[in-house]
Amino acid sequence: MSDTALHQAVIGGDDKEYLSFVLADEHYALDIKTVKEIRGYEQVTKIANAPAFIKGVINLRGDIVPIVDLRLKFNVGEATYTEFTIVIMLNIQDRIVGIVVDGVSDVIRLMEDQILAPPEFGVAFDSRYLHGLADVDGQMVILVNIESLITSEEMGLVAPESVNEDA
Amino acid sequence: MSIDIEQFHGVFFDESDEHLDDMEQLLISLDVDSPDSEELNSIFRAAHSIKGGSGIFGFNALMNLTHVMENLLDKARNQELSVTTNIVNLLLETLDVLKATLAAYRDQVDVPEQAIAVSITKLERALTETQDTDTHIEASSHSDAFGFFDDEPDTTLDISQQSATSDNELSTPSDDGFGFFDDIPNEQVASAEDDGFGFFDEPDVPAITTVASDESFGFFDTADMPKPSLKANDSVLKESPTSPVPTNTIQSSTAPDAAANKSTSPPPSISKSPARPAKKSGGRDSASIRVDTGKIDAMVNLVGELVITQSMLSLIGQEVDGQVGERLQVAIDELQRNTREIQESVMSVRMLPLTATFNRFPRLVRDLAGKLDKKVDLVLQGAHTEIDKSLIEKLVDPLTHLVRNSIDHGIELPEKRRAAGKPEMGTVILGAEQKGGSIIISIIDDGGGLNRARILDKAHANGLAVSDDMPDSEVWQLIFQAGFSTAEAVTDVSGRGVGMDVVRRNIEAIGGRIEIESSLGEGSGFFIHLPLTLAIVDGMCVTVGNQIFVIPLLNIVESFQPTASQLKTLGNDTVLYIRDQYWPLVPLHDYMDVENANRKPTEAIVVLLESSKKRFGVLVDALVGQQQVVIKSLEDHYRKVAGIAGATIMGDGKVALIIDADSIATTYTSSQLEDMLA
Repeated sequence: MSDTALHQAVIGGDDKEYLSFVLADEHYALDIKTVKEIRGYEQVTKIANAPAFIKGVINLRGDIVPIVDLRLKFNVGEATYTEFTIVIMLNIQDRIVGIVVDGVSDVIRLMEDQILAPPEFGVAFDSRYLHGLADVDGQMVILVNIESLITSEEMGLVAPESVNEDA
Repeated sequence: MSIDIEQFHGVFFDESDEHLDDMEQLLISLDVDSPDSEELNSIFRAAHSIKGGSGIFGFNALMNLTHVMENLLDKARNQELSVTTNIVNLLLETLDVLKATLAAYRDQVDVPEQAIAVSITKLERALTETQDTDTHIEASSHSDAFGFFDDEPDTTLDISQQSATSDNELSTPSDDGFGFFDDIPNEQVASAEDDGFGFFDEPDVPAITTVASDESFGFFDTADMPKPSLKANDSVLKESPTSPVPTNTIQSSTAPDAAANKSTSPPPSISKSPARPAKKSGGRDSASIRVDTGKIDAMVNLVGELVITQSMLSLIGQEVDGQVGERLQVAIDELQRNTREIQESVMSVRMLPLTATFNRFPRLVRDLAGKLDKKVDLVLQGAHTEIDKSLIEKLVDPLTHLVRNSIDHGIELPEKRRAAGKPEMGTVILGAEQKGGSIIISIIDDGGGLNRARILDKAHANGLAVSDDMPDSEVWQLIFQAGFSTAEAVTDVSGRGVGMDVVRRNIEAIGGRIEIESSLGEGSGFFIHLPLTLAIVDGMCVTVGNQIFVIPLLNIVESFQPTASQLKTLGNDTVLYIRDQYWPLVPLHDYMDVENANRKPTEAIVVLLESSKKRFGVLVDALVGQQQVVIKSLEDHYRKVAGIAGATIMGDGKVALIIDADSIATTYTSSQLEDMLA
């Protein structure tokens, strides 16, 4: 904690770092503290009866980790898989999840007051997973609340009964 | 003296558990007619170790009870008390109270004071009964050294121990080690009559007692002890030479208890084995160490990783040509051998013999048979069979239940057995053996067997879907239904019908299954099939489309390529017809939603699976080979998936899913299949 405090003191306050990534033509960003690592896309093992955006599972150094294609989830662009396809491995609530994106662009630093509320209606993107919008060098960046997205019921990554099921 | 003594509590509890188990086994195997003195010594030492430990940790209730017990055992091993069945029973009862007390201390709840008091009274009575037959030469020197621990007030334990010992060494060098090694009799021919008393009572004995003619008191008053129980102690001392001490004094405090017990023990002959080696049960500990299971689990995981890495290396090694390739191959072979050995030895760390589990049953059978007026001989077979520790813990309850069932429902009353032309003594065999990758634990009785008609009646009454021409094996499985009991009367032993479904659930939870064989009038057998370990499974790798699945070998009955005549259609579904029976057939590509799979069953392979619920076939493209795989949880980072027991990592680093036959049997739904599986 003292490290964070020191960091805050040096950089002067309530700004946070975000990792920005690209899905089709849109720029997104997520809290960099949730990012475990970034790696290339590799062959997944398909899981039966899972939604299409859950591509399957991979072996991440001994851990069986699910891979989600955000392009399919957000319904943007084409879900093609090349050697340049990028997977961002996230560490959320002690679970590891990989998300497939078209590319990773930059680490950006935003002050809290630079983050603007999205329009109240007319946007299909579910506001529960939207932290806000920000303008970075004339480019609109969509800040995703990745934790609530990944743990949400509609993603089906976390068994709803996993809390009380111990059989 | 500000050591955090609580850190040793866990060790004490574990050790005491072991001692109690040892005592129980020894007591049960004890030949009442000619008791083996070494066995009696072992029982005594176990009781003594518990007493010593409980004294150190201030578990007074435990200490008081073990102390009285120990007195009795001491007399038994010194042949001053003949061991009778009653005494053995009494000691066994005391063991139960000790177990409850130990558990109470462990769980930090109130100790069963009343039960302890009752036990102490009973033991006292047994002691005094024998006392009456003895001559009362209380005044001669006392070899009863184990009093040492008893009389210390727990708060000042360390000081008193040290001071007493050092005093002892200084003043009476001939008495070396006297204080600590209780089972060495005091060979010193004491000049003072009450030498033993003076020494042991010292922490509590007030300085004024030095006015007594007893010079030995003087040695020890230097230790500045609290003197809380002057009166009680005094009175006990006065009383002791002549009469057994009333039990109310004994329960009132620790110190008089000790003195009183000593007073009631008879004088040992001085010639008796003075140089007996101090064989402490603690000596055994040097052969084993206690390790946190978490550490072992971490090691097992790491070895799993190593196995995977090693098979990756092997794959890569095959691609390297030339001289380097050859040298690499030699090194990889070496690595493979070492990896396998490391894996085996790490797994063996987790493996424990079933001995400890099995050894609790003679007692249970003895008690139960007595309660039910039945004659039962329990035969243990293959108790040395080793099994994963995590499985052992979960086996105890189901096994207990099955053994109780065998005695309560299986074995008939002696008259009935005689009428049926069977020996009066029923036999229950509790056996374990390793067969390939699985352990089979069997509970076989030569009792009445399961009553098919009554089970079917009961099933009808419970509204279960049954038919009268079901095969036996399916009828027997009915008894695992919840609320199913054919016992005519509910006894406190069994018959409530809550047990067998729990038994099955517990066994399935540890990856096993249970089978029943029974024949009316001849007996029945319950066979529990268990995997050797939970972390690694022997599996058959199969391909479906471009995906690999692992089917646990435990579930596989056989695999073959079906002929067209073996495949029948029922509605839109294919069923399998072999050996005059129709089997459900689950196309794995359909269930697992795999593309590019072979859709012509006659070109595919059927793997016949057996789960605890049903037998059925699964259709796969091809068999790849048999392999040991490390089970990885899907739920760590994802969620439970129907039909999948977990995942594993193959040699090429890819993930393969492990099939869960039970889950497939219950979740595969196809309109017609549903009827068949129902």
